[in-house]
Amino acid sequence: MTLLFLINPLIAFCIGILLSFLLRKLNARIQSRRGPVVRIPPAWRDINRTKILQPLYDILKLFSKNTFIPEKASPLFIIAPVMALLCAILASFFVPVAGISFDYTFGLVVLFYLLMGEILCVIVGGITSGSLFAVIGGVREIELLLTNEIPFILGTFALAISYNTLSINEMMGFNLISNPFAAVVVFLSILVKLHIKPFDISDAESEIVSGLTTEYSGKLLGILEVTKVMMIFVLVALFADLFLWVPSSGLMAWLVFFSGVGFTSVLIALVHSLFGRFKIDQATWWLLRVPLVLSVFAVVWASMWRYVL
Amino acid sequence: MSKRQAALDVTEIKADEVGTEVSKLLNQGARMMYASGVDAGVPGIRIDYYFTFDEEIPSRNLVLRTYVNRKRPIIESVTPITTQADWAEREMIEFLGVQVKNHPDPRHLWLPLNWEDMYSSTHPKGDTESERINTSPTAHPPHDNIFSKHLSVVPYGPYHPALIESNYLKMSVEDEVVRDADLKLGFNHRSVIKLMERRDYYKDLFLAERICGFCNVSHSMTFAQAVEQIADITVPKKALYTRTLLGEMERMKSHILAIGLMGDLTGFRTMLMHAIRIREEILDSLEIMSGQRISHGIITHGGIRNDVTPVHIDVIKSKLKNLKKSVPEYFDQLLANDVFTGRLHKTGVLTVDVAKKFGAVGPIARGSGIRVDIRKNSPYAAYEDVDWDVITENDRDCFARVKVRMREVLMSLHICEQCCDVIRSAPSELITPVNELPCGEGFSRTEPPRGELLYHVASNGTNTPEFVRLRVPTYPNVRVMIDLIKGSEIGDVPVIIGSVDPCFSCADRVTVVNQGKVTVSGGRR
Amino acid sequence: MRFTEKIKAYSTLAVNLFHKPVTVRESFGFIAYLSRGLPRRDDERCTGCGACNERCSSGATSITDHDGMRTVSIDSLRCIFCARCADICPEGALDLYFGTVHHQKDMGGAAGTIKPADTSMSRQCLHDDDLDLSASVQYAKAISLAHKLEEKSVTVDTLLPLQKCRFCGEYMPATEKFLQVMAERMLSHLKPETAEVVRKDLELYLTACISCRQKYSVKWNTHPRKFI
Repeated sequence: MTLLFLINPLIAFCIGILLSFLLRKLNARIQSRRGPVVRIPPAWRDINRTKILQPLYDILKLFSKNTFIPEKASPLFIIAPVMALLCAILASFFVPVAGISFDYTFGLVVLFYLLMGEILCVIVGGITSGSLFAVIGGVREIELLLTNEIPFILGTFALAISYNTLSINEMMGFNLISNPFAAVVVFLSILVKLHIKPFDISDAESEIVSGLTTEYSGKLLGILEVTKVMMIFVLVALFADLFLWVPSSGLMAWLVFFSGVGFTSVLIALVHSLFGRFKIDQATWWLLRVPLVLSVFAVVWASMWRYVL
Repeated sequence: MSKRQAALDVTEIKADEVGTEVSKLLNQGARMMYASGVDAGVPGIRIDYYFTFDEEIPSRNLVLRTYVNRKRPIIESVTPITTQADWAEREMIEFLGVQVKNHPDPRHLWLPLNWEDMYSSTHPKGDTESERINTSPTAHPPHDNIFSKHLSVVPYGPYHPALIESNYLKMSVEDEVVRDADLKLGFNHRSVIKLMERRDYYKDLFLAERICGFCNVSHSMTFAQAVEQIADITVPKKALYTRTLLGEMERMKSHILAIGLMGDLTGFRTMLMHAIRIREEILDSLEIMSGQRISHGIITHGGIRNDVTPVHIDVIKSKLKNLKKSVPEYFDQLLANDVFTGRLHKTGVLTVDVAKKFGAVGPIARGSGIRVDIRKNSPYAAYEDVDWDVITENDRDCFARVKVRMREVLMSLHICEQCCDVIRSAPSELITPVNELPCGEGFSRTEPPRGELLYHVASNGTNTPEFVRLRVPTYPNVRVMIDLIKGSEIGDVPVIIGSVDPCFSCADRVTVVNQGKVTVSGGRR
Repeated sequence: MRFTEKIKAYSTLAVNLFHKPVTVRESFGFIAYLSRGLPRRDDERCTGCGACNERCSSGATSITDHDGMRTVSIDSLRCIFCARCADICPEGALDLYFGTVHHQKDMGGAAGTIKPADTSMSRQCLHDDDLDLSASVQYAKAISLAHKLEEKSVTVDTLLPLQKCRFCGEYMPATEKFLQVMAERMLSHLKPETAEVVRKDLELYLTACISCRQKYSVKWNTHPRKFI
């Protein structure tokens, strides 16, 4: 096993920036806006030539600002974002980027805990800030987490059943065809984890100002933004690996991987701009109704193929 | 040609008969629109209670008028009889110093809650020279019935993404359920009414337009109609139809944005962007007519100022044709979205009884199935001559209110097309000049996008009005909004606010500022 | 709503992805091309009577008397473009126009290219056959440049000399031009031979300040009413 996977976090961050640009751009175009401009006309090139790296500039701006820490906040307020970032970095080791990852026999299980840990860290940090909006956002986030984890785990375990392994590298393949139910379930779970539109209930700006991150500012918010960018890549890459991967090597592997990632993020952007926001009770009820049933179906489907047929 | 609106029917009563007279009128089916006080000098402070009868068409406007002593301005509250007088009486308390006895909730609504600490109690009585606002922090927090409850309090505002304009909505929350809510206005004070008394009638028109960015045509039209009633003149046909056209365009632009904002408040920002895109055609045609996008400055006393030529009408008609295609498509996109409609169904149910109790007007009342529309009840401009109908929905929830707005937009398109045809062939006379204004009182009501707007203007023969009193549609509707928020969930609150579509700039137009010295009590001017 | 209708509605929304964006590219600043424009004063015609100052509802106009000169100015940034001054001006000196002379002077190339024919008022511009939009874009550039250059208000000033009292020599609160125009306007209603008689008296009367009129008992003996 090579140590090549150590560059995974770097790739995750760089591609994550591009993915968040893509989300913003597609969202803007569906809204008939321009969005971040790809090519700036010569007359207005006073700072830079393109806005593709606009998410990066936003993060850099946050790191150049002062951080305000609320009086009531406990030390967890500072520790939690760093922990979240650490979780995201560790998670990126386990997600194969064109086949390169920390290939561990129980990689999938560890990844579950890291993904959950990231969300929990943000919740803990938000709630310790003492802001009411953060508390309401935290409660909503926990409700979403509880209802979302079961379909996510069942959906991925359906693949584990089919391939008889818990290592992510071994269950990669074009499973979209072999188990479409699992693909739908995992895609929906990714939407919830990334706070894409029908499920951005925990940071609903019109209800609770910005939810868990209301009190965060400056460098701490910058860390959270970096975490968010990395999580976009980690989850999108996970979906591309599990369901849109065609076994190949060399340059071809990178091509397959990035086309999978691009396709997934376009889908996510479409969902993001074509839907409104659920209310929390509607969202939990919907998550229990649709993805949970589908995930059970996916497990049954997978075990049927494996053991019966 | 359409008849002029019904003039004011004034009945003078004694101050101690107010309660019985008001309840008598309410039993006859009247709706209390407003109550306001005017310092009339020697006779005392004059207090008017404005009533209308919605069932009668054209509806009768009635005023109960009473005088109270200037030295001891005490009057019995009618809020225990009807909640429709609640805010009006609180306004009287704050801005005129009238002491309203037995008012159930006499806290400040526009002035700061700790106003007494900030201002009056820190200075010895009679010391008018040193009357300054005390800016140092007050010893004890302001009295507030919300904060005294042992529940977590969620503040919305003074600046909050759900409220486009600044006001302060406090909610005490248990789990996700709002147990109690209270609203504090007064962040947009501009003392418009007082300024109007110091400017001439033509300047007042532009000032009235700037009360609200959304309903500026309605504001200037209502003011002009009130003045025309005093001057007793007839407005030319072309001007009437142009006013109708402007009013309906304004209704479309306001409703489309309100629906788009509804999308934004439920997280569906794509719809807001497309609402703005569709609205642009309406703004363009308004600009062609008047030369301005928002505050048009086209309506004047006795008619309109700019000519609307056949060339303009051609352009406007082509824009209306585009709208006829794009607006239903936009509405279909919204209605197809189950996530969006799921947020609106069965939220904020406003029963007919509650709507009548608070005197709701506009799309809020019509969403509950009440046929209240000033365009039908007391027709103005050209509404009697064009083909249209009042739109009501019987579902009573937020979705019904949004649907009322959607159908009204389509109805407005229909009215606009008729107006265009008439304006093209109408005689070119634009204005009947107002030469001399006799002493008298004018009263006018119109239907802006949000409900019922009323102006009461009194002339004293000079070039400035004696007083101007106005009540905006947000005034009764926000009372309804607070009632709807109580008992709803936090996730529903933005939806309810969006469905009521309040305009706090309208509601916040009054204060009495007298050369830096603020009138607090005794009815001083 | 049927399922097919829903799919159709969703697809019409998603298809916007392939349409051109409707928003205008951020440029120097954008002014609606049908706006009424900024107030422009014809210096030749302006008499400094102050009628515009009386009627302006936003306080954009101002009149200041200083050192024997009356400065009539319009602060275009406070202007609400109501065109009330244009309606009221007795000389017809005021108007709302795209691109004022003032801007052409200061802006150099940007606004200097605006042709007078394009700068008609919005109320009339749709009567013209073609509305040249390039002019309005240039106007928008000129405005934003003006803001950058001056960094304060864009004002249009007119300087007019005040009338001196022929007795005490103090400046009266009226301009020479205004009094001349007034006198001419009064006399124009009379027959030529009557006007000759009245003219001298009228000029004496108009060029005396109020206190001197009482002091030296200046009277308008030959009031035109006597001749009618």
